Amino acid sequence: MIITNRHDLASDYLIHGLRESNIPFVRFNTDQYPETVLIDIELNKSGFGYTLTLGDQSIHSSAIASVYFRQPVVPTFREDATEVECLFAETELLETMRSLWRVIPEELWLNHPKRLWVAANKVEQLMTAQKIGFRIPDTLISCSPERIQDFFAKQNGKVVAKAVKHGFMRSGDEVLLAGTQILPQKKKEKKEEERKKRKEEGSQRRVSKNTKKGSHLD
Amino acid sequence: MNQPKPVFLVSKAMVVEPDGPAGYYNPELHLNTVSKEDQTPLVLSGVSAPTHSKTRQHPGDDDPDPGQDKCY
Repeated sequence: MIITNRHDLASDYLIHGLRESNIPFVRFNTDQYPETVLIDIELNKSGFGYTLTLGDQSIHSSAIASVYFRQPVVPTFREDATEVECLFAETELLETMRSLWRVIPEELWLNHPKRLWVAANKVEQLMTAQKIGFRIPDTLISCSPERIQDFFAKQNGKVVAKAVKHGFMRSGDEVLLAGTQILPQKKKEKKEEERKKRKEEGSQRRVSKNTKKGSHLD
Repeated sequence: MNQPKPVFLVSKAMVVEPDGPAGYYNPELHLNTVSKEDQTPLVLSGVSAPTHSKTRQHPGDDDPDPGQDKCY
């Protein structure tokens, strides 16, 4: 089962591949819930399960062997109802959908929504990466200009700035992206760094000249 | 009167034009085709944006999109 939305082209690629390989699948577009998709969840003393009705197709939980989760969207309710009723219905639909995720055994997911949600945090990612042996860049998250300046100096001015979240902002109809940026150095700091670099290059040239002559530096 | 200092990242922000829905969602094939008549999958047609640019297609990748994290 692929849980996504109608416009997700990455899911289209996957489905095209599944069709070519004759692997049976169902596509659950959450933007079609509850218009053409229905969810029934049953819990009783003998266990729990769910049935999905996708158009004229009905699928019981026992038929689902794996689940791929990719960019579902919040369902909307467009029936002839009052604003309050619509709000209530949308909250209920969303929670029913989230309840469905919980009925599906965790081992069937790629990846379970709760794991994706946790992984979406950059600090969590950095900590996990470090824990499993990756080298991570020195990182500072701070609102303090002094601490940021200290960090900048400690890193010799080689710092990028990133949003802690994703940097997307909506302003009216526009979507703005505050992407990763190299922090600019002040002219004075830049000159100082260039002077240091020239000095280092100069001493390296002297070293290689002396080495060619067979001299030692001690 | 002093102007407030602009937020660095916001001052460098760019406008993103998310690609709108393209093609026709074919309920029988369960994917987007070039049109209702032309059943070529959109992803094979060369007219669709490749999915490598998630930023332009829909913000985020498998991350919760802004406003969509309630789905998780």
